[in-house]
Amino acid sequence: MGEKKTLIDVQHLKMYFPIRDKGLKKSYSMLKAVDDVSFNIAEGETFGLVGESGCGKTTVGRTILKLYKATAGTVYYDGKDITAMGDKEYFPYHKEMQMIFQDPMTSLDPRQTVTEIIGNPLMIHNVVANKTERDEKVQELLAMVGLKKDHANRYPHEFSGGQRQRIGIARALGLQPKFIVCDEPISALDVSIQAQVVNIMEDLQNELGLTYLFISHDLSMIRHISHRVGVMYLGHLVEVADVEELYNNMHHPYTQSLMSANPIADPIAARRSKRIILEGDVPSPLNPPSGCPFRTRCRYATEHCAEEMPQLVETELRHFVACHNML
Amino acid sequence: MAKKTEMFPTVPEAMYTMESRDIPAELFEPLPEEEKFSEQINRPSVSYWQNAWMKLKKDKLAIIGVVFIILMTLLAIFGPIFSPYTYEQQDYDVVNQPPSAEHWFGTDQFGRDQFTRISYGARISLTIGIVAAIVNMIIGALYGGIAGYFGKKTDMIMMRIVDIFAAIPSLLYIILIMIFLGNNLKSILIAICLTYWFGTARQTRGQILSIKGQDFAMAAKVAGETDFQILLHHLIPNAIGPIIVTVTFLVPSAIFEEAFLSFIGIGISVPVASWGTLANDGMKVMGLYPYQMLFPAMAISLTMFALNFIGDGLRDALDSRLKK
Amino acid sequence: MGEHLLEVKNLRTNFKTSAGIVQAVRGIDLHVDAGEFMGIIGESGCGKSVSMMSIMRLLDDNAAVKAEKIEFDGKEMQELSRKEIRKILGNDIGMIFQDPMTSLNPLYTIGNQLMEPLMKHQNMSKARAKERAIEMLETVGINEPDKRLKQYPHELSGGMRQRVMIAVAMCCNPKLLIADEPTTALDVTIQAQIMELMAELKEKFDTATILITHDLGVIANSCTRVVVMYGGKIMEEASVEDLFYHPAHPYTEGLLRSVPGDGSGSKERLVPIPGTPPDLLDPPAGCPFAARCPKAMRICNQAPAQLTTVGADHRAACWLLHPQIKDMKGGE
Repeated sequence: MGEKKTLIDVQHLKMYFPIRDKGLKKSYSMLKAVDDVSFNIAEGETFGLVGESGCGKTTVGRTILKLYKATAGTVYYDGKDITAMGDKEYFPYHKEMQMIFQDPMTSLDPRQTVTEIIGNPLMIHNVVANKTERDEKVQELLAMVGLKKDHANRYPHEFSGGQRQRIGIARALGLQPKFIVCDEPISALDVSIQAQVVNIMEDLQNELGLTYLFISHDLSMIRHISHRVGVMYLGHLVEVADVEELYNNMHHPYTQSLMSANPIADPIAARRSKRIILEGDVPSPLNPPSGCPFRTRCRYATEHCAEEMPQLVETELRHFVACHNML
Repeated sequence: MAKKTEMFPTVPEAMYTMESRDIPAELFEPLPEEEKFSEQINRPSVSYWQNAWMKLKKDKLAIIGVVFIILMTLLAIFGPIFSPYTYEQQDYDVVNQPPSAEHWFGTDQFGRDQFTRISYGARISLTIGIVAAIVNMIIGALYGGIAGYFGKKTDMIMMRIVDIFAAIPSLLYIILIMIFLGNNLKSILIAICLTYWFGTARQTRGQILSIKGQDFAMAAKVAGETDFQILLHHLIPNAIGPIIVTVTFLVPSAIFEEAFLSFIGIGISVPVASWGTLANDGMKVMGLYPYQMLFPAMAISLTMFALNFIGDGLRDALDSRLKK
Repeated sequence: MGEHLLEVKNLRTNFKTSAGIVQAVRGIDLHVDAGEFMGIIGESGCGKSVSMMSIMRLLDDNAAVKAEKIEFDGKEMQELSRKEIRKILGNDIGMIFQDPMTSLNPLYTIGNQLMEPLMKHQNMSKARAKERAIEMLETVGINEPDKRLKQYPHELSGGMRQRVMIAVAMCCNPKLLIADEPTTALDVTIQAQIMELMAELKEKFDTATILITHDLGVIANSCTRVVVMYGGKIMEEASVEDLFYHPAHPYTEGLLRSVPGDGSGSKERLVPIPGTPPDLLDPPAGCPFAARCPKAMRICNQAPAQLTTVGADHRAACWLLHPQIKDMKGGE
């Protein structure tokens, strides 16, 4: 892969949430949802962000879109620092950066018709001048995601999950964004529908040159759709590499166990594969272990891991790992 | 379980089964695309309000309530217009008459037509009900919505203000307002509007708190909508169902409040007829002319019943989420 | 045949809703043998969970269940009273649900919930029940079981709760374990732990298991026999190998092709199944899959196909298996 233009550049992003402690005393602890995460996404590519629930992957996506105010760090969009921008200055960037949500049941306003849901952002940003133009554009967008004209005046609850997710995609596309954060866009959908949505997303990327941040816990889908993949654990990025490099040549013990835990839809291959079953649960992000966040579940952990947090270093070309005892 | 047959519509016998050997060959031709109806939605499109109306229609008591309130409204509008008497017109020839063809509900001690006075009282009561509902809904929803949506300090300060005002007995305000503005409809309206929105505000705040974290609000933010747009276009419309229910239950209490204040003599003053003053006047002569008490009391209680039935019906119709 | 642990014939379950009657399960036959690990796979709304809930009579009052036969361990379940069913449920049939919080009572300690069925169904003394509870927690891989007995469900992590629920389900040594999407709410690494545990327990206690899931990967990794459901009907029934390598129903084929392959990382375009599942309020007269089926024929829209034998223990409900098709092909 040649060097492409970087569209999204995330530098040392931190997002802490104050959490009220239990008990009568009014004190707060910091939930370090995202703790010093840096990566970048080239234009027209899909960056897959994978990890287990609570690892901070969703927070990364939301912080990039300024839905949360970052605790520290910078996000550059097309070379411009968007973290520091005020609401007014940032307003036009809503058109550039959009989002597809996980749960199509809750991400569409139940009181609005499909036309309003897809059309409202167009009106706000003056993409369309009046309601007639809006209705035309909505029809166009519905056709793009394979829905019918007469669906426009219906309400979200009348659609199936897959159809609703396509409405969500149409809404995101209306503003002709360059960059879309896809926050677990398929995990709430049935298997046969997931492929529909993924195909639509891939087609749109090819046609419109979209850049995606694809957040998911589905390793097979991440591998299918991404160009580059980052693995997160407990608020930290532990490994980043181009997709095939990562899946064939993983260096971090967590990546390895995550991959081996992924059930392959093939009975014979499944019986052959040797699984690394991780013990225990992910530690609470309110009280993360010292040093390497993964050390409590890691087979290779040494004393050094408890003392010092490993930094993300480039071990091979475009392959970054944060581990003291690289595999 | 009793209605088993009803629960199991008979499946029509299939024309062919796997055992059939006489299936015409054309049936094995590929199914044309236009006969595949998979993206099609067969159910009629129903909005939230249409669905609520469908449910409300099935609630007999609520419909009786609605019909009663409509009749009462018609009476309030047209009763005084078409009646040959006015509410203050005295006629000493016909004092304390029992109900008759000329005076349907009889007359009082000054010979005033009771029917006219009760229908005039309905004007006052219904005005109070409607104004209380609208003002409460607007102030309560906005105040509670802002507190709930912005949260943190805003919420804290706004809700403590509500707490303080709500803690003071409403009778106190009402009496104070009456002293300053006099015993008339306007001051009762102001008093009721000032004291009734607390409940709506608290409830709206709770509703907004529970839905503001939902993805559709976040989606609006991603699209660049401002906080107020999100609140007004997405959050309040989604919280409005339960708010309407609360407000519906507020209407009878507001109407009753006026009747009660007038009854104890600090509300509407003579000669204006309100149901409360009528009941009060009637009570004085209850032993002799029970119908003077009976008709205003019935007007009050039947209206209360009707409004409560409507409230119950609306709660069932609006509260539950749309079922598939 | 005839000696199945659980045998269900022509099960139908309908729900009464404001919009009308929803036919969630439309005549299915099922059987599970002792010690078997069976999977039921299908998309949401296909009737897979409802069919199990119907058998256990766990549905709300707006549901009606009808079947020619629901025989468990030689007993006709439809003739039993609710009380007798409940006794079977804690004792002979264990159940695991997707969300442990729905079946663990938040007001009682883990110990309470584990010991109660033991004392009630197995007439154990309190001390004996406690011993057994600790033993069970150890079996499901929970450390410090003494301490856990005194904890409440909310004090445990998701994976831990699921383990406790398995312990509750298994503590009376049931003959049948029904697991309804047991790992759907869990992360992959925890899912792997739970699936491993279920496999171990099956080996250890020889419990028959019905695993309900939408995840082909989970099925491939655990089951021996699989039933594929769609639109309230059974589409295919086969051994796991036959199902994955020789699917006979176009729906099964479609499902297999819509997931990204065998893990080889091919960038090949996925082949989705177009459209959406049928609305069971007004189910199609013919095959429920006809509208989305690339191989659909005119007959498919007119009449449903019945399950037809394809091979040993392999049956599918598809008109393509009708003998006249073979004749026609032979004639060409």
